[in-house]
Amino acid sequence: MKTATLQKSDIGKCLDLLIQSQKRVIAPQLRPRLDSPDAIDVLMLTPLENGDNHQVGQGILPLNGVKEFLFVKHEPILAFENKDNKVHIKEVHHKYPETIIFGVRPCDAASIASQNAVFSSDNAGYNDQFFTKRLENTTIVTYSCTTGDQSCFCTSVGLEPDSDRGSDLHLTELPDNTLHVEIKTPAGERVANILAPLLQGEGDQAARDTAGKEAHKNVSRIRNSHLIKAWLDDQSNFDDEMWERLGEKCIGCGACTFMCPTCHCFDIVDETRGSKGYRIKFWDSCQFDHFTLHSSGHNPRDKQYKRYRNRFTCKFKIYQDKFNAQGCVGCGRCIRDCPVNLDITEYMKEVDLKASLPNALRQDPDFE
Amino acid sequence: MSKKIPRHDFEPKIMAFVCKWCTYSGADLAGTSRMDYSPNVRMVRLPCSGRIDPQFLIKTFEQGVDGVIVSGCHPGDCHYNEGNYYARRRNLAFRQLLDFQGIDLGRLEFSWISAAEAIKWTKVIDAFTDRVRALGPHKQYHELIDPYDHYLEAA
Amino acid sequence: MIEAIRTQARNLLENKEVDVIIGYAEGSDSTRTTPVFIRKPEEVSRLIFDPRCINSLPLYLNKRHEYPQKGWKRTGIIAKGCDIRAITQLIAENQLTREEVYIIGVPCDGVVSHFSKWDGRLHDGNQATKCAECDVHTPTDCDFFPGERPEVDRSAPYKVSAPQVLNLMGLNTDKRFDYWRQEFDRCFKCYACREVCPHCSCNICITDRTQPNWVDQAAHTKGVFAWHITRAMHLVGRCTGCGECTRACPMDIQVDLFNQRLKDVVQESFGYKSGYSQDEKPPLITYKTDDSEDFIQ
Repeated sequence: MKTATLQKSDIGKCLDLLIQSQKRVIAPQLRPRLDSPDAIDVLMLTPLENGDNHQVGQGILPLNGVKEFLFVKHEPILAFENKDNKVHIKEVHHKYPETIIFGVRPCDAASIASQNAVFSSDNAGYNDQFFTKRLENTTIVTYSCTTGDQSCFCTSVGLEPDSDRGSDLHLTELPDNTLHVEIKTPAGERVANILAPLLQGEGDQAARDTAGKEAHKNVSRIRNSHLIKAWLDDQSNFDDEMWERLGEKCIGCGACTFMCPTCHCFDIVDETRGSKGYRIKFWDSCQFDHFTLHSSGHNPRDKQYKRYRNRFTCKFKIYQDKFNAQGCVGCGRCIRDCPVNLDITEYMKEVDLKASLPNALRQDPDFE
Repeated sequence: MSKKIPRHDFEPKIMAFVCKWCTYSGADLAGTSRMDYSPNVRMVRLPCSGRIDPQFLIKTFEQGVDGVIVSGCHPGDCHYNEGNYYARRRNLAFRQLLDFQGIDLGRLEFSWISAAEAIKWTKVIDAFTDRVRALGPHKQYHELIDPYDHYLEAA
Repeated sequence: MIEAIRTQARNLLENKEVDVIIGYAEGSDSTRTTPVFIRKPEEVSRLIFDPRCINSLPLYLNKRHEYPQKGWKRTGIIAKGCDIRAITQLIAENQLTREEVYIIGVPCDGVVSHFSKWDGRLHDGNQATKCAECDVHTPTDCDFFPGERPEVDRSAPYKVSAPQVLNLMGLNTDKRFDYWRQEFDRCFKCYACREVCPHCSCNICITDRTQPNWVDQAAHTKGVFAWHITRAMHLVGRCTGCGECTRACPMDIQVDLFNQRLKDVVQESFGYKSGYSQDEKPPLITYKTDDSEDFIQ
């Protein structure tokens, strides 16, 4: 594995080099502030025209993740036309531009493997060609975190602020304002070659490891999560009182699922105008009240707490069982974005507490 | 006798949502009296102007129509007594909403036309058609109504 | 002040005058608060109130959200002035009866506009703009008010809404359309704005109806516009300006600008301000024979 050093102040020039190499470059930028005193500074991953005004390495997380560039918000999957009394199916041609997403945080990068597990034929058995082609043409340049905010919890789900999972080219910020560069894959090497004029010498592995350890200390919301799966596997916990108690305030807005980098539910709808139409795939949410509504009228998840129970179970059990992938990367977006401050780590803590109790105590109705 | 209606390169598509007791009858009278007026209008007949839901109007713009006119009985003359009073309030708000969203209010028209006012019908339609023709095709929405057509072109 | 509220809450629960008290408690970190459902008298110590309490709690009184189906006969609720307006509007629309709710009013100087701006106290730099225009800092219609209730003067003239609305009205129509097109590019129809609104009460929202499909499901621009126009239209004369929709939007879109603009229209044309009267009918279900019609041919 080859390493190098990059000056943090050269990131703008790096972006310019990549843009000049005819690739689509996406990096965090400050969204233009609304003319409102209530507005807050918001970072978003957006395509760049030039390397000025980038916000790589700034803030905690951009508002959107890499999800919207791979598993896009809405796309046609086929077209049809009713002509001469027959229905003709037509193919749709998506574009798969060569893309570099620069400055992805480790949690977002780790989520790509979770999306891939669902949409590629490796685990789920069906290849979503739109997703896989897009991923093939995308290079991820990750940028480690030096700290988290009060909603981050990657360290509670087996990740680290300097993790390189899902990365093609990994950048770690060092205290002296340099970046330790690690080439992880052939795609990362291709990017490194374009950036060669700005890369200097060998990287400093020791400094990089120290920086990682320091960052770990700053992401402090540790919860033991290794007991959760076993507790969820135990079907007798499906009706535990905790689900309704903790999920009571959830209003089913779905913001958590739309912002979550691993959430992947989608709906398919046909839209027609006259005799022509498209079949469209777009984001859906298990938190919607009609998500499991049967045509008979029966709804197995008819109450909101049941829908949140499903979400939690999906992330901490079903992902592992069905996709052999990680369901939650600890990015904290669901906590930040929840209008009623529902906190998934509160569920984790509750489950962990129950899971670590001996059996007798757990069944005591007076136990708090 | 009949007047010649000049045709132009661009002829707008106009939709009219009308109440059956007054405006539709008024338009019918224009027809039986053999009056000429711009043929761009397509009519949807409803029992009352109070039945007209703003959803219809949104959907109409989404289908690529260039101008929409909503018409009913004069206040006080509604066949169901009050329908047009509710319509009046609703349309006042909806019109401001569309304006705030950035749709040119020249493409939206409201009128009270009674069953006897065939001449008014022809005048209102002619004036509205001329106005919308001058505004041109509803480009803002035309760009939106077939969002996936460009996917049909091979890469 | 909070001690008086906690004491009253305890009394209500001990005397079984209410089934539950909905209030605010400490949130996931020091900058946040969260809604809490207090059922046992000993839990009232969790109740707090400070400028971090942004949430509009009357949302939980809306029957669409199944909470009242739990068989609560009477619900206690901690309500700021703007929340009482929402409750009043629900009563005016027959979504709720006055007897079903026990309102614990709180005097409020304003709330913080976003939890990330909280630095320990409320000041000009972090107060929500809706609070600067508020005329219900001291709530009037409530069952319990901590301490002496001061005199309230509501005679001030109506203030037209936020500068952002006026700025947008100052643009020409095409530029406004471009502005909204750009803003709504981020919208993916998560419907958080709908779920968090205390007034959205249809059992099955029109957007979830597919036969016929009035509002396109997919999140292309046409579908997004259709949704926001529908939402704005369905809240005409009903929106009480809590701003929760914009706060809930995970993509930072100012969806409540539509509602604010229509609030001005309703005030100008119908002389109606939502949320101040339990008896006055909302404007779109009533009429005057001499209503303005200068836009009609």
